[in-house]
Amino acid sequence: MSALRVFYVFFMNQLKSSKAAIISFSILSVILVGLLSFLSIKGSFSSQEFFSSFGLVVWLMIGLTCTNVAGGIGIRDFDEKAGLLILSQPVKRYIILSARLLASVLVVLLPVSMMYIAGWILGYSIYSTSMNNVLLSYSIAFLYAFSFSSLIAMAGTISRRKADAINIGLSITLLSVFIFAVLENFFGIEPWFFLPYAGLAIGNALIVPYPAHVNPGSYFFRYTPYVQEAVLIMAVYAFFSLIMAFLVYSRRELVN
Amino acid sequence: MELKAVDLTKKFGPKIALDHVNFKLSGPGIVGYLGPNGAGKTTTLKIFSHLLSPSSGSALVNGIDMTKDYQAGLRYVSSLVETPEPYPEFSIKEFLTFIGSIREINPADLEKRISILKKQLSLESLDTKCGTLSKGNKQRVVLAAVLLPDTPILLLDEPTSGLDPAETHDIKRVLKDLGRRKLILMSSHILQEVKELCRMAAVVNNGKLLILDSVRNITLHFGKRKAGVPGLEEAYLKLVRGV
Repeated sequence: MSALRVFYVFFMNQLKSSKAAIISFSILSVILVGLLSFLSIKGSFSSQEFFSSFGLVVWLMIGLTCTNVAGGIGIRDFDEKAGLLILSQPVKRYIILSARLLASVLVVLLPVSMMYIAGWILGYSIYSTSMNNVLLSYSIAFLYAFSFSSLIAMAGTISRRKADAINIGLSITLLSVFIFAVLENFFGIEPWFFLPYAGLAIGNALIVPYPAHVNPGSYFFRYTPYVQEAVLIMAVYAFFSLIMAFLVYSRRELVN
Repeated sequence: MELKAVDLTKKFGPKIALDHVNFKLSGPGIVGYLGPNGAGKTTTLKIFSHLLSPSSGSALVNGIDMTKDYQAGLRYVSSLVETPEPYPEFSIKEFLTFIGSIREINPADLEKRISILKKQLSLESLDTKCGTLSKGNKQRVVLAAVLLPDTPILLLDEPTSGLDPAETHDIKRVLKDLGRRKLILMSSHILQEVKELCRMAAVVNNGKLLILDSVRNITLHFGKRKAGVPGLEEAYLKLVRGV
């Protein structure tokens, strides 16, 4: 009971600290979907093209939002002076980290949910067809947000400053397409060991039928993960990131 | 209320910050913790606050080994180590409520404690955002957060450092009062403050504990002047510099 209460206190503390991020990312999400709709009208996209592009926008936004929100949770108390007070309280450190991580994932889900709502409405208005497999895609997006947040939280626990964790998250998110292209085209390797590769299933789930595993026609996404494969990659990343994050966070010392 | 260091050692790479320190402090009362910069004062306080782990030896709070069950040990301790700051986006009340909730103080008692501390420490309006406070006012908020749980043991690292004379006076008054019922280990560079507030003092240098005795005994044994009244400053210099 006591641990739950303390968990709740830190959970609310994280939500409060992320208020600005929630608002700005939610607005940005809706604007991005609006712009995509505009582009799809101008470029005469088919409904399949619109929904797969929408999936890619969601995938990109999850990476950016998780980086921004979860980038600080592993390092915040070691980087900011408030940590001198917070970490000397009689609380198990894993409670602090898990409360903050859960709050961060929920914070990310708000803009993601708004994107799905906006995408569904705009998609229907433009093409008069419903978005396919919304629940499946949304569930994968949730798992991807959780896995990505765990990874970034872990990066935070081993970083010296919050900026380091954010740089790692941004590099992973923004360079992933090029990393896919290099691995796939130059080395012929399916990048199953790279978390953002699993995230591609968010968009693929919205396409009917689900794309083939190998797609030689595409330069950047020559391979696409199956749903089961994507879920497994995300679960493995989340599992190992969480273990590492809790271990490091619990043992880390507050040196100057 | 008891703080005990048993062969407490802390190394940062090749540097030995604490070298087999042994002491046992029982309360109530204020114990001054003296020594030059880098002597190991803050390291000791950080180990007792679970902000650092010892390389070897143990730090015990009321008999509880901090390396084995820090959560239980920290229930008896509240600490102000180095210069913490409240979260800038929080108001004073939100920050104190946050700390009080972590300490599981029930809401009615928390309200009462916050209102007492507001008066005692002359805090700004409770709705003021912490990020907008001056350095002195931030320190008052932090001190309020440290005193909020009313733990029997306080660890204070230079609590009056950077404060103006009026603020220092207020905080010394509060500490004097608290020293009657709590065990306070207070590091300080201000010998006059130690003389005024502390019944005992410990002196460390290069990670080694040089002496732990009453302020009076330290002054008498090590602070003899060729002429005049023995002083704590002379005692300190003799212990630390050997002159």
